[in-house]
Amino acid sequence: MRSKKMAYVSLVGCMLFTMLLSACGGGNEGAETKSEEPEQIIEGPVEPMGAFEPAISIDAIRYVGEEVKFPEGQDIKNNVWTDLYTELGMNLNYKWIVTGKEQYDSKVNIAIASNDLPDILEVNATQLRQLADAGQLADLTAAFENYASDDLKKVMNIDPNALPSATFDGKLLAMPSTQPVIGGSAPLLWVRADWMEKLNLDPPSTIEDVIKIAEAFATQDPDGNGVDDTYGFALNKDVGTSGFSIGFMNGYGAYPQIWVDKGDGELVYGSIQPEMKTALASLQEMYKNKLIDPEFGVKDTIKVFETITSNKIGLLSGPSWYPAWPFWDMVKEDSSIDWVSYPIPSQEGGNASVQMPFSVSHYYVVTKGFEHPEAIIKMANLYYEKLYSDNAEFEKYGTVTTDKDSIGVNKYSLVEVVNPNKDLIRQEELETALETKSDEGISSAETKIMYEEFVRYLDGSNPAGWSGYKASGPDGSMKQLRILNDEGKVISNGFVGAPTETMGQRKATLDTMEQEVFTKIIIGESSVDAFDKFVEDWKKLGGDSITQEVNEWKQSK
Amino acid sequence: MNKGLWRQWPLHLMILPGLIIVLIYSYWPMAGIVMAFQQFVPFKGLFGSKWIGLDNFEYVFALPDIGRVIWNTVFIAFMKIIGGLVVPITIALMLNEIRNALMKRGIQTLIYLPHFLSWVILGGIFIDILSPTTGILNQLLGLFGIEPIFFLGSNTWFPYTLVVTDIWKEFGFSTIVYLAALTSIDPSLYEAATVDGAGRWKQTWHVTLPGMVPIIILLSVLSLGNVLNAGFDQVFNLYSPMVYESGDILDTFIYRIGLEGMQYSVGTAIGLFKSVVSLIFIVVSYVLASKLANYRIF
Repeated sequence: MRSKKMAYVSLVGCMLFTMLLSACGGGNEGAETKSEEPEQIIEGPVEPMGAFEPAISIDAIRYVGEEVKFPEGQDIKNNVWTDLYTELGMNLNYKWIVTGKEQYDSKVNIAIASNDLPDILEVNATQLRQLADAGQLADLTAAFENYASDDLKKVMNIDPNALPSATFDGKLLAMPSTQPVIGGSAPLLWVRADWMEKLNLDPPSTIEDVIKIAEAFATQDPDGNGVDDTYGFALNKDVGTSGFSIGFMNGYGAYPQIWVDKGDGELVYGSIQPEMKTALASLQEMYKNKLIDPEFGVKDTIKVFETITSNKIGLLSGPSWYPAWPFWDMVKEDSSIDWVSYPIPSQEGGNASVQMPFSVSHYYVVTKGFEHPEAIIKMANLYYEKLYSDNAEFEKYGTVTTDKDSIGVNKYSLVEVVNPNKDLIRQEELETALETKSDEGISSAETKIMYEEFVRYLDGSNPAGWSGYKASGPDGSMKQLRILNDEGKVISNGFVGAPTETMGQRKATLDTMEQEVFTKIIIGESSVDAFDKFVEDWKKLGGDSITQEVNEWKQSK
Repeated sequence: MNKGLWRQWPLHLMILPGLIIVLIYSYWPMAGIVMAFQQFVPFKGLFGSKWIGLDNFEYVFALPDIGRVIWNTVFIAFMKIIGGLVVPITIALMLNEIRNALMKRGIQTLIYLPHFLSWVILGGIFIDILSPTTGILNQLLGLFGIEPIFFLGSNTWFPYTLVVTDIWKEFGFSTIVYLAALTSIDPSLYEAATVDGAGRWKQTWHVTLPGMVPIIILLSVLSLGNVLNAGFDQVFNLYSPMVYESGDILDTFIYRIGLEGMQYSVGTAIGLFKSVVSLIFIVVSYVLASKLANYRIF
């Protein structure tokens, strides 16, 4: 749950971020499309955007995010996207709609348990495996091959694991929903630039330097209020699962909670590697020296954000969108505050490799017996076509700007497929545009709007452009991630898809143990050597069989 | 009997809707108990899933930490039951002595208010109030020279913090129940006691308390069924890995194992275990109540 909470926080953050910056995308060099023999015979000409004749009716279920708003005259059953579907002869018929992803997940679990499924629905990896094992899903292999637009095929192949994670026994049983996870989660080091200047500190070049900055921030009264009320480094109670700790651990070459290839092709669990022990020892030392809030162990991310916005912490690791939230909340109140990002330095100097999750967190499936599985492919085609292609109509289907508000109408679409590198492409285009002072190279209308916001931010007429500029500007956090990505220093979880059998049975227990041991080591209740016992216990209590299953999975791919 | 039934048929008819709801929502789902003995796969359903006997129970009780989780649950729940009886009774007796009706009602309403706040909100508030550095409680204790206590981060203090905050939130509600019981005591008993020369204290001891015994026993019997319910909402919003050792309870444990991993059968098994233990406790306490206090529900 803690990781779920964190995921939710990052999700909200991402949404805020995308709402502020809006989306863009475009062409991307993808791998070659995998060729698979279509088993179905398609009659008549196949058009990726062709309409169904006669119109078909599709049963579906969905959730609406808490943040979703509607322009006047539209609602979730009646909006630009449903109009578009109707035009193509697809009449959506929602069996139920709930607010919020968490509620949706549990309702889908119930729907699965009571075998009451619609034609099309969104599922997570575990639900996908359950449905696939039960033989409840329609084979999308031929539909994808025949109907997917070139753009869609390209996007689906950027993350080489995306399609295989939805393929069971050679059959494609789901459409993965890819998301821009680099911009969403890969950690960077965020530092209060005004504090660094005040205390005459240099940018960090090793992880040791980071600790030195933390020490200076904790002891030298960076906020100048004469009270010893600042801490050095932010941490929350989700040790090893939240960005605060993940970034710092990455600096030591430790990759909590993900499966990494140690070079010999075998996947090992990041949390039990010796590098983790070093990282924990270092955190313990920092806690002992009062560089870390003694109450971190009870604080969730929102609580830590409160400490940050109340000028008590000026150094943390976190994703690229932090300028949008929480930093902008401080900067808009006090323009003397400034934040700057650095790539996480390693122990020996130079940039450390940082981790990100798998780019697919959910899937769209068609239940068996539905006659037109290609409908889901067409919807995905539409999403990409209307938002990111050369024929995009972003002002109509992406973000509608009214006098008062700008509303993300793209959220009404039933399926969502985003280029995993969207954020990086946008940054690159913006940087070029700022250099050449022309928006000619920008591929989407929305990035053009952002470019104009940047120009107005730079001439001082748009102070709110700060957060966008900090992230996607020429020296922004996204630029640093782009460089890391080009150097191959952003690593993703080596194991993707549904949990293995032992994972399903043991992971919750093992995760609990991991968090408890890590927390106790940091607060000094256990010695660093408790880590060795943890590794032993982890292996004994199911970790060894999980490792075996993970590697068997890898061999089978 | 038959004649009585005939005369009372409109009353029985009125019970019917409630009865039907209980049958549909409380009895019908009990069929799902069989899942505890199966390796339940949704699409195979209750009839198609494989029977595995007691494997689910063996699995749950072989999990490391199960011992400490059960101990925490019983310990926290037991203290909550005791505190949840003693505090409201005391407060109700005290309120009963207040003659100013406005003040009595005012206090009654004020202590009842926290009952309406959810633990999601209170969790955030308590983290602030109980903070060892900035929390108002520790600042108060500091005035008396007491070192700051990390109520939510220390394994010594955490269970007691749970109990005290839970009682604070809920005692207003039970107080109202006991106050209602007090009003039903026959005033002539007090008059008689006064005539016999009993003071307020003796009246309380010999008239008020005995008058409350049935409701006290009823509520105790009902609450004993909660001996394995230590309060999911509260613990979930207040605990953290630092205090798993003293604060992890059956419900939070199963939440992490069952709901995150979709292990329906394991969840059912532990639910069944909880129900059986609760049933035993209710039966035992009912027998005790009928023997000791001559109280009968049936």
